[in-house]
Amino acid sequence: MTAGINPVVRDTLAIAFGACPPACRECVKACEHQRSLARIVALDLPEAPFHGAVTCLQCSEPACRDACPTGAIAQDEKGVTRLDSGRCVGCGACAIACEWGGINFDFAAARAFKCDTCDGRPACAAACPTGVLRWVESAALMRQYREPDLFTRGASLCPGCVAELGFRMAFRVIGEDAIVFAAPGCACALANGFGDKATTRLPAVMCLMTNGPSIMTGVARRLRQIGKQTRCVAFIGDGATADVGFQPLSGAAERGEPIVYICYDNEGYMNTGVQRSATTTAGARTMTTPVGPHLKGKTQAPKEVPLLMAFHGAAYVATASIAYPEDFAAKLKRALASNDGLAYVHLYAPCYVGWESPMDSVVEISRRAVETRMFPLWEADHGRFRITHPIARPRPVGDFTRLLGRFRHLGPAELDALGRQAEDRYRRIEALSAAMPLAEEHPRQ
Amino acid sequence: MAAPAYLPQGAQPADGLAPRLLDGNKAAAYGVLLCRPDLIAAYPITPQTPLLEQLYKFKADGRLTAETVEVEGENSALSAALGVTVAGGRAFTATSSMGLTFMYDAYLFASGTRVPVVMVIAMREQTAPTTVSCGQQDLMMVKEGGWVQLVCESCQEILDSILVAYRLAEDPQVQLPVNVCYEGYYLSHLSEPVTVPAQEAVDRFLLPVRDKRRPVLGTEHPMTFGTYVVGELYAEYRYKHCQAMERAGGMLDAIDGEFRAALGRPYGGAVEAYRAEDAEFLMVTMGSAAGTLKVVVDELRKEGIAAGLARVRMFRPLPARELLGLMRGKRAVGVVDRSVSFGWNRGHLFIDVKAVAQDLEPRIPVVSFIGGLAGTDLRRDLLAGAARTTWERGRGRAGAEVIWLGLE
Repeated sequence: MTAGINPVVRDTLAIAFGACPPACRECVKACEHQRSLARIVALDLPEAPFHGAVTCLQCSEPACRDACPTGAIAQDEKGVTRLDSGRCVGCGACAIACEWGGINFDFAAARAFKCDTCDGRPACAAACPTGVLRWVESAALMRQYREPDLFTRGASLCPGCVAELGFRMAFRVIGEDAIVFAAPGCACALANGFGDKATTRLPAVMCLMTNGPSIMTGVARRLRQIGKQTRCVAFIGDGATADVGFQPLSGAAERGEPIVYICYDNEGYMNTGVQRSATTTAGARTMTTPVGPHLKGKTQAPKEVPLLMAFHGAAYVATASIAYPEDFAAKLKRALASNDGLAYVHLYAPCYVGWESPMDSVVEISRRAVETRMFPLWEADHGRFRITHPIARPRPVGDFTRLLGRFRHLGPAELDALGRQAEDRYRRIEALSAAMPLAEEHPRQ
Repeated sequence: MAAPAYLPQGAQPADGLAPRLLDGNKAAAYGVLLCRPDLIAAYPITPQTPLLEQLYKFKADGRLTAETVEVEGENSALSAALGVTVAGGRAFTATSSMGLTFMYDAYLFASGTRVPVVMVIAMREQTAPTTVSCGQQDLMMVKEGGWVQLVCESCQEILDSILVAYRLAEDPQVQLPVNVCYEGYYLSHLSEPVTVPAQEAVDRFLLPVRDKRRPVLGTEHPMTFGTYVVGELYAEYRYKHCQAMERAGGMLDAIDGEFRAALGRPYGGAVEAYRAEDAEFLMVTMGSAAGTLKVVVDELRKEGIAAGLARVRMFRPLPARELLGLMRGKRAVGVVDRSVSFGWNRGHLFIDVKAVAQDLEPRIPVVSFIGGLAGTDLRRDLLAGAARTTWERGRGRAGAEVIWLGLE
């Protein structure tokens, strides 16, 4: 199997196009200092008004390379498009072919030249005072997700579903030597097949709400008996994890079954039309915790399943968010590496339908949940804890709740209570990390 | 060490040579041991528990190589067993009563996914009222669950039925889970002489699981187990399931033949007929009470009353053809049940037998006798009374269709 859709895995110069302050030329100065002739152009058009920086975007399929008649332009092994001035005849075909203004031309020498990212340490980004130019080390992230997508392209989940995204992302890390276990719920549509058609190229078992970890126990034991390294991986929702299916999960953790269990937590029974589960946030409106004169959403705080699992003798426990994909991937790798017991990854999975927010909001919701300490990112390896993304100065909880219609009915007092719950949750993990620290940061994949 | 009293003078108990005194649970454990399972997952419940303990003893003694999983509940016991089985292994589990109903969703998953797992039901009453006593009510709670169900009369038959169960379950024409059922205490805790066959003989009868061909969960040939299905395809799955059940029923005679060739003991197929051919009327039952009814039949014959017995050995699929054949020409049928169907207030086996009897011409009386609930004895006098009542019904005497033995 070849790598995923994009064959070029490289770091990226991210440009917030048109977001420069007027008359700022810091990037150009830095580039001139580095390379004598600037490869970046500051477009200052006060009459437009437009203020932006333009340079080579390092296309995956560069048109300039294809247009060059002498072969002077080529991509190097890191995906950087370079121009060999010794072979350039100054025809200008590359500059005409590039739609992005990424080719520069030295009229004095009659030669083209272009950005080479300063070999991965661009001076422009380092000099940018506003953050418009940023050097993003995306190669490492893309390498984390380099396995092919093993699931059907057409699936009956809502567009923009974070569970679907998380499912696909997880197995781009886990890869093909795995058996996937699903249970009734939204995301099972990616794994359980439909009629006589499979929905994944992985071997898959559609379990019951009540027996995923137990079927996995049997399969994992059998795989070990016959000398297979294949991993058993569950991708199951919070209802089958925290409520009706908690007993077998508890049993498998206590017995130390070498399985990987990913719970995608959309805080409710979303596939049956948004009913509350044990993990639903307090105050949230659902169809079984509606809002009226006598009830204002869910009255109980959520069951903290990842903590429960950590206190169960699980080999590895982590919380994860798709807003922090490098963190998610690193934790999946660590979960796969822990063969001496159950590995549990709790993936935060906002459901925009059930949580009453726009279709394109789930990543931002995921990020805000971390930034407000509503959903701390941490891991525990054999009972040693570590916060993987510390939040030194949390945003007010209102920055999170205002994204979601399910909290619209909450007044200041209820929001305060929610904020205190988040603080308690974060401090519990902080205290555990201080008392039983997981010392070394594990190597990034 | 002196030979036990039940053995002939000078004989020593040894596998495959002489009978040893085993209760039903131990007999089942020997059956499991001889089938070389890869994994045993179970959760203790009375009266099945000593079976588990015996298996763990075998493991501690190094005789059993299977992995064991001490699960946290019955649903997980069956689920772990079916996990091993879908991944190509051979698994065993056992339960009773509320443990069986607690695993009901996994029970249905196992049959619908056509997982050839074998499970003992040491039969017991259902709560409430709370009791741990013998009954067949737990089996009746799952009779519609799509499993093949064998019901034993003796401890020897328990051991032998475990071997037959794997042979049947794993047959490519069947691919269904199989229950081996026996009554709590009357069989689970009753000791009888049991011949434990030699491993080589069992290996001839039951191939190692690695030699069986069936769809296996794994990365070599990725497949989906338990796929989501609607409409006609669902009906097709059901249709094929029913066809497999029919094949299982049709195959038992042949498997009994193989068993006799390899291990020397004959069984009578799905229904054991006892002095039934020339009988004027027929008693029908299943399980341990059949032994007492055989004595009753013999006694009535001495009085000149031509009684006969049909013991249902395979409860599901129902051996309707065999039952119909045995009932044909009889003047009445009496069915003894150790369970009751709420709502119609008859015994469960009675309901099946009565339905089959609709094909008889002319119609004959079929009487339901309910007894032996919660471990009360199905005594010889009670069963003799039931037989006499049935005989009288065949000679025109009117009466109730259902009679609670010992209660009315």
